[in-house]
Amino acid sequence: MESKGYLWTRRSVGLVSLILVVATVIYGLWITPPDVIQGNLVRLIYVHPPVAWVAYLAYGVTSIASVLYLWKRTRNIKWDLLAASSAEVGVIFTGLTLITGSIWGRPAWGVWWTWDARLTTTALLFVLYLGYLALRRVPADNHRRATRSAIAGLVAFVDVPIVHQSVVWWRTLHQSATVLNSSLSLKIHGVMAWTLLLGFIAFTFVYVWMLMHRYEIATIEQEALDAELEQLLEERQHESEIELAEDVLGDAQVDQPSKVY
Amino acid sequence: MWRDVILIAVKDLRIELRSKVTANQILPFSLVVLIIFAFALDTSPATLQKVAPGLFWVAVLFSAIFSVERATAIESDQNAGDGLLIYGVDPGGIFLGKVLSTFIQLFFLEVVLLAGVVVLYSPKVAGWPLVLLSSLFATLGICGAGVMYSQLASGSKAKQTLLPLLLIPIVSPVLLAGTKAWQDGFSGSGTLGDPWLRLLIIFAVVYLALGTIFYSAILED
Amino acid sequence: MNGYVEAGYLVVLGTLGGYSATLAGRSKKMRKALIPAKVEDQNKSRPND
Repeated sequence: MESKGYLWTRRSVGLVSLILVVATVIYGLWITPPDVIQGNLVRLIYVHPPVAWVAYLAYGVTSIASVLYLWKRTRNIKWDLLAASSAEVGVIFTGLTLITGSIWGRPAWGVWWTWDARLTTTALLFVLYLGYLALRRVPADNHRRATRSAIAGLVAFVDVPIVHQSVVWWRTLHQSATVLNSSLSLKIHGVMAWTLLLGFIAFTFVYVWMLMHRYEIATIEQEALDAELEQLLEERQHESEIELAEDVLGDAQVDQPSKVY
Repeated sequence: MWRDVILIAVKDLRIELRSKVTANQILPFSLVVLIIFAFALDTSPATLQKVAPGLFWVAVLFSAIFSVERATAIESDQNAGDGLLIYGVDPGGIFLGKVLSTFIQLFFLEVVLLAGVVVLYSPKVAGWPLVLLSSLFATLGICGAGVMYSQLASGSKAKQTLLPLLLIPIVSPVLLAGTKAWQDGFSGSGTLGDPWLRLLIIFAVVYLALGTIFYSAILED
Repeated sequence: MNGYVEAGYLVVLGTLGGYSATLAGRSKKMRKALIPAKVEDQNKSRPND
């Protein structure tokens, strides 16, 4: 964990993500041209979809790590810590997805929020994983906490397609097509497409860096907790050994006279 | 396993019959919710008739949180859950038994609540079969997810606040689908092939399966 | 540009920057807290052995 190679990798990932994000911002804000229809507003496309992608990626990682923990052959507390770390980063990115979506929606549709399928699903996802993180904060021993959160993480992920489907029907069965489709269907090409790709790569790197950092913190915390517990146990054992010794000694002293003499 | 299901369900229902928590506390609570909704919205019949299905399901969802919380609290006192496992009761059976018992209690509550809706909001109900069938599966889904999450959150001091946070987003599709199926049923426009009914069935099946699979892991941890 | 774009970029960069700083600060603090503890333990255990 604390090896030089690991630290080196994390720092390089950090450096690369910093450079890529700066490049995305420069390209996104100044080098790419404004869109014919949306004007400068289109510049949000270099941020909003990549951030949303990272949010889904993070939850995907959480689910895979949860499965790996639940499966007995690959069970390791590391998967639990990874799932937790990824979920926390995911919640941050989901929050950003909602905020940037809202900021885009206001000038594009005239409202901060619309009950579109994607928006509603994302909002529910945000709450679902906030719940997951809250469940993790419930004090319990390692295995107990890990099992519970793995199940909760997995069940939350299973719920996503059901939620999405229900919201899609809700919006389409009882209402004509949303405004969303018309305003989002823009043609992207040339430097805009490259910048969008750059954005996806940049924020994915940011995710990897954050995950590594968060995972490291989780591991150290876990180690500290285990060490503390072990120390407490040792102390307790020591105490009970003394008690036991005293008991035995006491018994022996009582027994001694009758036995020896 | 099926014997265990009946065993646990009968045991929990007997406890309910003696303590009467659902009948004396949760049911009146749900009726209070119906009344305050009318305060919050409007007393004009048109508004209330329009929102009646949604209000019904919100009231059911709130009551369900209390019901499932109680269903698992029975065992979490004095580690009685461990006792059941030691006696060799199947964990999946415990889960399904608890789902069955909360299902029966909630269904009873829904019948009274529906009477309340009919009296207080005076909606016209054209398609009873859809209303009935969708309630059946929606309740099953809520109980399945609810019992599982209640067990997940049990043992924590923050359970009362944690459970709604975990459960409400999970069962939000049921709220949505239940409301829509009822709207279709009320207006008579829906048939039994209603997509919302299908969604409710899928949800119920998925969560009953997940609960049966994972309940042993949740209990034994 | 139009205010919205700047706000969007600002929120994203600000949040991610803030979170990164928190992460970096926490892990640095932890490592500092852990390393002396390990040395202390070793010193303690030696004379006892």
